[in-house]
Amino acid sequence: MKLLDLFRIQNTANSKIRLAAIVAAVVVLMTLPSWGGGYAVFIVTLMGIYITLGMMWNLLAGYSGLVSLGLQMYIGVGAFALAALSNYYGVPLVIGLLLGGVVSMVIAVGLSYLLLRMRGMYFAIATWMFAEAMVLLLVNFEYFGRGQGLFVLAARSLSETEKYYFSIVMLLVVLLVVVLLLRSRLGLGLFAIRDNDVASQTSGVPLFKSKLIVMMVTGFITGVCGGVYYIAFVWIQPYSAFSITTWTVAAVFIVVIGGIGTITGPIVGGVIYVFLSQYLSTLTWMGSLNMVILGVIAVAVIIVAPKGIVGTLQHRFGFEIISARRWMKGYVTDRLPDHI
Amino acid sequence: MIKKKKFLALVLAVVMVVGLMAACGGGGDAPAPAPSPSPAPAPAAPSGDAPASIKIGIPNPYTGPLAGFGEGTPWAENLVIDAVNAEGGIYIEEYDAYLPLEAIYVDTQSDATIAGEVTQQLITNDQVDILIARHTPGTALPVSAMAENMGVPFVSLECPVNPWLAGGPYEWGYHSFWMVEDNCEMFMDMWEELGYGPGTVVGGIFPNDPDGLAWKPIFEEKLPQRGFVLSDPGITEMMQNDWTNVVNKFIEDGVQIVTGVPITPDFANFAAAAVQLGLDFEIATMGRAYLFPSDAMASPTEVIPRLTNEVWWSPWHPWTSSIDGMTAMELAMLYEAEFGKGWSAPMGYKYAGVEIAVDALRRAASLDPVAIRDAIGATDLNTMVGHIKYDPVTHVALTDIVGGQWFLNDNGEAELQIVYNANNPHIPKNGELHIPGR
Repeated sequence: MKLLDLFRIQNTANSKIRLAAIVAAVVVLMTLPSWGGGYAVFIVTLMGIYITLGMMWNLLAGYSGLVSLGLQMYIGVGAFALAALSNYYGVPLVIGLLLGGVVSMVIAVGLSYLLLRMRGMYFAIATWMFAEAMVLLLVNFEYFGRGQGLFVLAARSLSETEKYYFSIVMLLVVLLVVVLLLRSRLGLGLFAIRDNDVASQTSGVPLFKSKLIVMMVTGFITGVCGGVYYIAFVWIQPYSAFSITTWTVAAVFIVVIGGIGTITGPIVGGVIYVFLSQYLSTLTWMGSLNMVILGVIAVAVIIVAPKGIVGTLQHRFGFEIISARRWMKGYVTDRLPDHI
Repeated sequence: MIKKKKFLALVLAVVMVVGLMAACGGGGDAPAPAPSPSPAPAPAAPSGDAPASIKIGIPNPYTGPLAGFGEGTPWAENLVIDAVNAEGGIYIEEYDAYLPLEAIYVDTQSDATIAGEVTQQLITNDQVDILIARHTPGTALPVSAMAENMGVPFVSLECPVNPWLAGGPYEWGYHSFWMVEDNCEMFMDMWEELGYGPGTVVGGIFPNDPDGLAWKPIFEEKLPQRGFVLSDPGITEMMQNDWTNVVNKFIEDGVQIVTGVPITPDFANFAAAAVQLGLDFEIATMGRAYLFPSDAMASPTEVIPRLTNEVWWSPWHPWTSSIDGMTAMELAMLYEAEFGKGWSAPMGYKYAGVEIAVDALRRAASLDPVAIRDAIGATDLNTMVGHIKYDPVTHVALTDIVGGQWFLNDNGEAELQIVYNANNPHIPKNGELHIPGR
């Protein structure tokens, strides 16, 4: 299989329009700070981070059948690794971000040998347990500021535009990585694993290796995502950085609303989540009810449109803006090829 | 037909993208929060390019574990804002006009991460002119960090000075509260007044959070200097249910006094375990653990009269409002009449935060951030929490604390009395420090 195949698109009018729309969106995002207001820059920075987070949970749960409740662990690990490297050793932020991702990935690999022996709710609860254990371990070290946490000191000198580009470049790179991953041989194997892991294994899909690669990719990217978030918000408070409600619950909401098992689902879900959370935070008279609203919306979507917004639209119209499937001559885009 | 549907889907997608960009563009189309009550007509009409109001951003923990601190907002703040607006607002020189104040409140959900996000929302979307950070390090630190990072002048209060300074240095903000060192000295003064002294074993409960980490080394250093022996079970994790090990260590060490800064549920669980396991401590002197009557009531009934703590604001503090001369007692009574529940210490700081902001804005007479920042730094004002004058180097103004003790009233409810004031005798006592049962 040639790498070029992964990028190949149908030579139709729709495909060209779709490609043009994607290019236009990238241009808009890359130029936003020069024409958008401060709030636009801030909110799209947030969207870049939450969409990335959503895409990672989607990669695990939507494409690999690994329903994780421990994504927050990689956020915290990536962020603290970045802060420690940057504050103590003067490592530049970009390098610190990547190294933070590597640390998260190494932890993901180590844990995979334990976690991938489990399935379903056992896997979910074990991931949550490890995340909780990680924060309890980390807050014992003076090096990581114990319960006070760390400030990413070098980030204080960055402008909001620079923080924006950290987020948007990450988002675009991650989007590309996810598309390429899902269009690869590994991606097809993941679809099979998600639908029936036993059957896929008997058909020759390397089950453990495929899941391990997904865990590695998720660990690395989520670690980087945590670093990018705390470059924007400076103070890493450990209980908040490892909070399941702040991170994984948000990721689940984003994917459920947008559409699980779709590439554009987390994008739509992330946009909705950021706008909703921004709006709800101003409804102070509602007290805790504003959090109930997020739950009610998620439950309503699960009942009315279980495939999420994008999933439902795709199902209804048989149309994907960004498809996880490679186009091959003779096959329509909403149908999987019969062979690779 | 299929092509038509595909086209419709594409149109829908484009509309969503355009909608997103439209909502983001211009930096101000997000939903507007509810403004504070309408101001009275200004003496001079604002010129055409003048903003409609001066915006004060106030992140507040309405929900989550710190919601007790968030209670009373926006009522207390609006007392100041309404009074200023009733006089026509604040004169702003560059517009040659009086502008009304508008407070914009957001919910931090008691989460440091959310607090940072909503503060940036206030800065970028609402474009607030000044921020107020308060209510424990969990809120004050992330709000201060974000304001500092984005160059927005801010008034910070109600977070021990030590953890606040740890997030510095600060260029854009000024802080007022007390130092942990002073608090520790006062605790020991109280114990000595009760007859304790060299050789008395004090059990320390310091949680693994900004407060606990700031308090522990200071207590470790200061207690031995006056002969007290600290029984140290190590840094404790928050929200733990099993306190058996800590209680057993305290029993083994012969603890007579317990001190520290645990959160309310942790102290309540500790106190219950102490009663069950037979740890007969005579006095508890804690920060944070039982600031409100409901917190004190969470402890076993026999423990409540043994509870002492630092008191940083009460109806008996001799402070008055710089806005309208209202006394601390009047503010507390007004709150009790309005909400049908007892006063709480954060009430004074909610009020004072806006007082300081108003005073700075009046003196700055400008919406220029640097002018507002410099005006905050030059504050020299008697407020609802005492006199505020910031140190130009540390950006800190220390506020007074005295000692309090809880008792059960005739209705079986916990009430706080001021029982120790030797360090600040201008704050009157209304009770006597004592060891229950002696």
